[in-house]
Amino acid sequence: MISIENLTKTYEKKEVLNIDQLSIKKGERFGLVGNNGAGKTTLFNLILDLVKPNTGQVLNNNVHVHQSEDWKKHTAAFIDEGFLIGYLTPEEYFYFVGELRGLNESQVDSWLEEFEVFFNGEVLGQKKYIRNFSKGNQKKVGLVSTFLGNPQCVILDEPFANLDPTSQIRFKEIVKKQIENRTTTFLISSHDLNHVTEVCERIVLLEKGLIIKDLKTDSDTFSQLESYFKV
Amino acid sequence: MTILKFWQLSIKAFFRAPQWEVAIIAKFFLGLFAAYMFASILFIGGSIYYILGRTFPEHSTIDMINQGVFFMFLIEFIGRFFFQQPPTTHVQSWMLLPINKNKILNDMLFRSLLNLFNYTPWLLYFPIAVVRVIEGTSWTTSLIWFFHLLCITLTLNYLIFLINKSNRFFISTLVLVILAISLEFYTDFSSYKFFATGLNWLEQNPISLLITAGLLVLIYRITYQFLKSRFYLDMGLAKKSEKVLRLGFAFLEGYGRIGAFLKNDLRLLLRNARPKQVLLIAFMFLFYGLLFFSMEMYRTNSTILVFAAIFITGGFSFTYGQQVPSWDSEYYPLLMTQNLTYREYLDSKWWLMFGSVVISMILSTFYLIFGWKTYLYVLTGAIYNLGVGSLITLYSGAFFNVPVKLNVKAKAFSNTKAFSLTQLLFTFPKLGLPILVFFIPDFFLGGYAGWITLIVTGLLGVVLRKLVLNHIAKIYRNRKYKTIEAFSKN
Repeated sequence: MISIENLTKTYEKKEVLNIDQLSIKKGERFGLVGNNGAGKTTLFNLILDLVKPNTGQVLNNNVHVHQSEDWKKHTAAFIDEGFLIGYLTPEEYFYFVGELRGLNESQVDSWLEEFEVFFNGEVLGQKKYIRNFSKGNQKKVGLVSTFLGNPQCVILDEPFANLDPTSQIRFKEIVKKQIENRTTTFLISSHDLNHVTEVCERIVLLEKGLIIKDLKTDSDTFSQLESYFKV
Repeated sequence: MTILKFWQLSIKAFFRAPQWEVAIIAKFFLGLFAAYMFASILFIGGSIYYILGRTFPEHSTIDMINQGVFFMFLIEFIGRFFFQQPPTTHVQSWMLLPINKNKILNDMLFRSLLNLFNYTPWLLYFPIAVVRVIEGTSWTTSLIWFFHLLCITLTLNYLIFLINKSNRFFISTLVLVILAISLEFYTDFSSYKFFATGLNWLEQNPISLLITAGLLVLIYRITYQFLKSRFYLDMGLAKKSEKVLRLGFAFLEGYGRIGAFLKNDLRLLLRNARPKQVLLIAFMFLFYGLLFFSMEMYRTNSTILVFAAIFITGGFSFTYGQQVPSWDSEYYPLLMTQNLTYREYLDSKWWLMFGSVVISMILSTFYLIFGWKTYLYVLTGAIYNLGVGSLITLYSGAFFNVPVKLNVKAKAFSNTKAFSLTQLLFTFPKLGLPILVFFIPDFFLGGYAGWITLIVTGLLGVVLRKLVLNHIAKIYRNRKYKTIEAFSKN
């Protein structure tokens, strides 16, 4: 699905990312862990063509993301509040994103039913603009919007941050369910080792822009990661 | 100590802001502009008494001025409502520090006096008061008159505080305004005449100073108490709770993606503080022509009239269009990762500006009272704006990548962020081109040649817009990363 070659990014002579080779298979649940400044968000921004790489390339479903915009048709992402439109209500926001992905309002409505439990009655029908929602509920809106129109590739930066414990658990279930039903590729970064090892089948550990570990998740992974971060 | 510390912080904030070098130049130009405005108002203040006295010798000059003052207060009130930002946002970081609550509140209320609107009495009414003394009114009467107006201005300053913070005050004010208007229309009672007589009575009775001064003290106390009782994050310091403004925009259904974008843009305009200011300014531009069409000295100069006509229908596209990607800066990464092309994005903006020109064209039919030829100017300007004006502003916007905080009001004269040298350079083609296009054929050929050329240029712009929009899209693409980076500094 995604293949990265020789990708580097430098900010003012400081290299923040350097990845020789990384490929993510179709349908893979790919987890990204690392301390602050490890380059997780930079990597996602490069995949989404939001920042320009110094060298190297990213192919998304064989589309060179820097040269063509065709990857946008099958990719969805939620990185931060910059992906929300503050002056819309959640419904209006979903309709807008739905329209861009070829869904009409009633299709969006019926599709939203699936997420009623996750929203916990706090998101839909609130007569409030997104900018007036709590951080947690804003996050829910952003996360759910990425599933609209069943994109093949979903990129989520810190999806568990700001969610309350119940919502964290429910969100894990949603991701697992998405994978059962479809062939969605997930790229998820997180500081929460517990969640990420539970959801993802493969975990890459970044440190100062370099890939330190590339693990296939098994019962041992969590303790392996924990012992790495203990130091 | 607090005042000094506060100053230090503002200085740091200024020099550590992105593009502070540009901000200095901008401050300089804005300072010049402000000085010019101050001088103009001062000039009006000094001369209006004589002008009115000469033009209408049969009326009492001070009565006319007093009636005018009523409308000045009305304009000031609207201006304050849209532009005066309550300075509460800084306070949050002080709440936990060991500073006395009273001190913070008094400091906050005192600082609001530095607002530009509070300069009007000194610039406008004080010179009038001085002229009155020169013209023979006793200086006590004149001074009392001035102090009344000063107190009313400052009362407005705090009233706006309350109106911005509480729906109850907002609604009561609205009811009062509606009442005044209906009284004006349906009865013999006239609020501005009543105001003028009232002012007359007040200046005759020095003791009445206690009334307006008392009013000022009262509103200060109310504001103070109001803020003190709400000195918590979720009350007075939080923004007024918003009601969702629901509008169907059913007419945009069935226009697919462009319709969806337009719907968003209309919501952006109606639900955010900053774009609302743009709407107000665009509305005021509608009346710009009155300055020129009503004056004999301009009525014969067709080039100046074309200049005015361009502004009448182009107000919105000028003010909104030149900041086009910036309006979406808060969620630019979303737009950059969704399945949409720059062309679609630009198309929707173009249609928005097209719509604004058409609406302005309809709203400006009142210029027909100056004769059909005058309205022809407006129509010609509108067609030019449809085709060429909107494209030039969109083009200039492509180079202007300063993030806009949508729901924060811009303050008059301090909005350095909206300033850029490229924008300044684009002013020449924006204003100069239509005048040139009109002037050259008008001068050499005469008759309707100027009008026809302007209309043809406008229509040509409509026909060729795809070409230009494609070119602008290319600029957007080339500047993509720069733009994203600049917008992320919001």
